[in-house]
Amino acid sequence: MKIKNTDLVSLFEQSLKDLPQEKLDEIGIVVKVGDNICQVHGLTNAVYNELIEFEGGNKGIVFNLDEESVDIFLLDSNIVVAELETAKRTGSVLKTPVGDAFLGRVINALGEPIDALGEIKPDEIRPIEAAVPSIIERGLVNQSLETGIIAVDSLIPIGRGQRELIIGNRSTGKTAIAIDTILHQKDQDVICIYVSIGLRQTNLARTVRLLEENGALNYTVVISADSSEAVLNQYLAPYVGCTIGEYFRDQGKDVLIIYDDLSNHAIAFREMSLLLRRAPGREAYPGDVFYLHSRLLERAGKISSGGSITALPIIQTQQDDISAYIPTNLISITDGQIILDTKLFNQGIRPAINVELSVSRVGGAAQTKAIKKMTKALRLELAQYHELLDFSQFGTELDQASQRQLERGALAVQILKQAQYTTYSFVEQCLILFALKENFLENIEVKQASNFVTQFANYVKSVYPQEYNTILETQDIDDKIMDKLREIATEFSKLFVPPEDTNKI
Amino acid sequence: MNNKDIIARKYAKAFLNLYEDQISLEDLDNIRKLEHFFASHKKVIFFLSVPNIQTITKEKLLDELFQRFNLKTLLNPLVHLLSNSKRLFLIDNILTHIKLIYKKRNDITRFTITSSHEMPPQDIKIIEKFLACQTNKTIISTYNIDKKLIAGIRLQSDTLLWEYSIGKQCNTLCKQFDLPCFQKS
Repeated sequence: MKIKNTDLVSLFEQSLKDLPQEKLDEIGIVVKVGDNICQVHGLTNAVYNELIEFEGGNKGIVFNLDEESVDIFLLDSNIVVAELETAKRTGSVLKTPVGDAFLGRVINALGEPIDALGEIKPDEIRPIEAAVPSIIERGLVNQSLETGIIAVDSLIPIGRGQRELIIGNRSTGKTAIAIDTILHQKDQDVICIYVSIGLRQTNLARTVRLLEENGALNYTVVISADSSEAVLNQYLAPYVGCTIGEYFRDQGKDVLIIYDDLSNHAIAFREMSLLLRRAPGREAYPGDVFYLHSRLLERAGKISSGGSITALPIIQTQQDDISAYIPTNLISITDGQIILDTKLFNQGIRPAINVELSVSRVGGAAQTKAIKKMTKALRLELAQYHELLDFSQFGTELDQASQRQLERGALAVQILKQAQYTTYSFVEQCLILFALKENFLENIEVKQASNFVTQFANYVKSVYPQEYNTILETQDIDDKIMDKLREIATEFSKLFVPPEDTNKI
Repeated sequence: MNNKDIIARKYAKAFLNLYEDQISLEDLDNIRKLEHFFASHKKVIFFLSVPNIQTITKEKLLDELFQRFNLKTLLNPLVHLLSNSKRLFLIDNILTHIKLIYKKRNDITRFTITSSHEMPPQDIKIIEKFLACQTNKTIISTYNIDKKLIAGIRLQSDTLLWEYSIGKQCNTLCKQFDLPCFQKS
């Protein structure tokens, strides 16, 4: 940074003009320094989570309070803290800048920009730990948050203010679901916050570029605490993200926040706890690891006076073990989970959502009538299909009804497949599910089913805009529209020409 | 706090219960000097902890040492008690605790007064009064000169700090401009 001489002189004069303060600062002396952690003797009145300033310019947060000393985690690993250095109390907890100017920006866990687009002028400075909304303040989750992913919106619907866990092994498309959801929020009046915890910088750069290319960065704030950063930053990042989300929520806006991922967050907290010599418990995590995530996710929710925070935390499992410590904790905290299956992913079913194990506990109330009508029996049909599919593996001869069920199930699985970065609006989803429900895919080859339904949705949109808009406005499909759609579907079936198989070329 | 500290604290408390009113501020300063001596001469404590050496020899060493620091009369009963229970090696820890507990019980705080240039004693007295007024405690001060302050003074105890100096202002400016610290005091 280039410093102008005039700046320096004016600042110097200004600081000398200030009268000496009357009160004494409360300080402590650094007696022990470790890996991003130090022990300070003194600071007798320091409180838990208080921000401490070191004489050398570094800052830290109090994590342990002992009789004669406190343990402090350092915020900046690049500024050296030496033994016998003085540490001063600030009297406040760590605060982060928040504001509208953060939209479209990439920041670190301290709210500082890291995208080389200049400084961000904050509207407010807020403490990163805030009280969760009370029961009185909370409203019911009754408005749908569309993800644009047909399998999610139809079978595991997410409501605004819900906390839905995305869980799965590595490379099963967890982040892809989250990113698709962000991309789908374009023109939906939803502010998105993407918190990257302990991920590689290259992954984050790719995600940011993708959001930028799709015009999604304008309504998104990206918070990064990559794997190379200090564990404290990884620990703080989700709280900072949530604080920024709360700023928008308090303005009556709907916010979607993605924590990618909380397994790394728990690992960072475990590292901190072990360095603080706290007693390790199951899987060496400290006893308060549940509280770590519950206090974060409880801050999500819908406020009756307007505004909501929808949280999509991501958790990585090891070898499909959803009964490990952190996954079970998160499953119990959240209002449902989307479970991604490696087997399905390898079979080419993407998004690889295991619809039998995935659940949305409150999203049903937020689902639109139209989608509800179209998916009444879909979950059951899929369950029966998978059961029958296992049975058919034995080579048993199946009756006609069972064979029909198998064919129908295969079609359902096929239409639930969706390419990455392709999202469907709510009406398109209704039309796709309508084609399946009303058996218009019976004479279509399985591999052509996706083409048929997408073309059908586009056909209705372009040729019958009145019906399309009616569904969009009423969010329902009444009997009259249903009859009309049947007519349109019959008409389209005659017109449908399957595109040539490009693989043959 | 380790076991050694816990035992030493108990001895210190017991000693102060009996002899607290006999300790003056001068004695406290001597105890501090002796504590520094032990910290910089670890071999003395090692000598006291070797079981082969006779207790009389150890006592003689301590007598000589206390004589030098003008603490012989005050600490003699403690040395006898420790030699009887063969715990002479705890003496440095006990002295530390005597100092800490005495300060706590009598509301005494030690401040280091640092200035950029030499100050007349009457100014130091004024500063002590200011500190006593701010802390409501009895103040013991040590005076230092530190050219790094450039101009001004710095008053520091274990838990409190007051500074008004050019050095501090320079450091604040460096922080504002994201530069490495100008000078650590």
